[in-house]
Amino acid sequence: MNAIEIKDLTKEYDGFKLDNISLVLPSGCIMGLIGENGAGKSTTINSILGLKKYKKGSIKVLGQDMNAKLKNDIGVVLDEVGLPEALNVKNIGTIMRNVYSNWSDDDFNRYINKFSLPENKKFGDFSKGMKMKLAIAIALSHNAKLLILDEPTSGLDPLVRDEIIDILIEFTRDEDHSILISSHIVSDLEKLCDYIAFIHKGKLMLCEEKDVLLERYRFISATEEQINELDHDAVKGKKVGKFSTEAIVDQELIPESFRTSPVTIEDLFVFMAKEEN
Amino acid sequence: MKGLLLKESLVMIKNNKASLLIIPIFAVIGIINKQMMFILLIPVLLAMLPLGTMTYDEISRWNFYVQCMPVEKKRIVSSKYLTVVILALAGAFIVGCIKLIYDIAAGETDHRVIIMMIITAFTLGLLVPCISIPLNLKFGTAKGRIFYLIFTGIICGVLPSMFLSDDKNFTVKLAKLTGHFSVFSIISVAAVLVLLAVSWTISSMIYEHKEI
Repeated sequence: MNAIEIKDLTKEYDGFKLDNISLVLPSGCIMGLIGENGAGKSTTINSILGLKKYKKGSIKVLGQDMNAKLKNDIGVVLDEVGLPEALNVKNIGTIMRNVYSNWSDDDFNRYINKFSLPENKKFGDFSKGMKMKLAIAIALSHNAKLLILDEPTSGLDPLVRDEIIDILIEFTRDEDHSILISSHIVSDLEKLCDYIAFIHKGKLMLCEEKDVLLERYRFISATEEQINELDHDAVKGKKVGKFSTEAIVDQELIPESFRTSPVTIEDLFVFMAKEEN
Repeated sequence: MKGLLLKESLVMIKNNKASLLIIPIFAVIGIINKQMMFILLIPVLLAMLPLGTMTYDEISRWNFYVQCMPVEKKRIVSSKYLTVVILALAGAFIVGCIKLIYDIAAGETDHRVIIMMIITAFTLGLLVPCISIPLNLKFGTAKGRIFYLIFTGIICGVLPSMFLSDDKNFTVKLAKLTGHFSVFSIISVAAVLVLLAVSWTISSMIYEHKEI
């Protein structure tokens, strides 16, 4: 079973269109949604969660249309956590115990201790990192099969980000567990994800296994004329320099004579976004 | 629902400790001044608490987060109304108790007046939230407050002119009605319960179609 199946998702606002997004997150995998601010990552996530209505298309989560009961199986972390500022960890634990049918106090307490979160301090007095850790503790304490995380690492220091990434990797050790995570900190996603989906200006530019992307797309350095002679579909993005032009190309579509070097997901994202602009 | 009600009460208590302390002060001042109408500020004060919670929900973005939880939208709306009803009942109970204590101390007990005050307190406790909640859900709490003022302004502007023109003997009819204790009681409670049902229905419809 797939954790998420999106088919032809279309949603329009004033001046923005999420255009025919189709992607599949297989169960047991981690998919990273990459895109610049305003690309449509949060709109996609909100549509999956049923927070936004969409004009066209279909979304299946854990094999079902979104419904309230299904949300017991989904752990959600939003970029702004959304917990009442006056409450403390104990209060929040009490509320969640009565909201989620499969809530585990043991898991919650374990994560609270692991994250060294103070039990009696007001949530409003927490740092951004502590707030995010509490949101992750909640998401992981009701036996969720799928985590949906919208920019969970933005605004956090590298140490906390690394800690969170380790916890997410641990979550997917169970092969039924899947994660959809959006971020514009591409290096985090590169460490974490099996699949990368790249959204740019409301369009899905690519959705592929990370290892396949890193194998398929390569850097070449050549003159601009040489690059212009290549198959148009081969060039995913280029940067014209004073002495040579650097391009990211589809290795399968260029002559073998070119010397290539590896790319990172961040390079791919930046070059493709610039090419589209 | 239990989790949502717990959240409503925890947020209300933690954010309104000072407001809750005012209740016994109002009671004491009302009794000392022999001003029972002053006591009726208590249900009005209690009615404001769930509206304040709506503002806190917006600020903390709880209204966004709660929709990611396994809770039907109708239940989210219902939890607000249930809180309002519980507080209106609490307000009516407090007012009834204070009036009873006052009457016993004064040596004259009129159960009709006590019941009338309880009904008035219950009505006051429901009136403001029943108008405000749908407006807050539709426009947000900041704009909702302005629309509430416009709405009540229109009502307060229209009703007095109806009374003053009085070509249909409205005032006389109203005086007769209020003079008839049991009819007045039944009509008041029925009217406020109808208002509650209409308000809840409108709020549920607004929230169901609302995109955050």
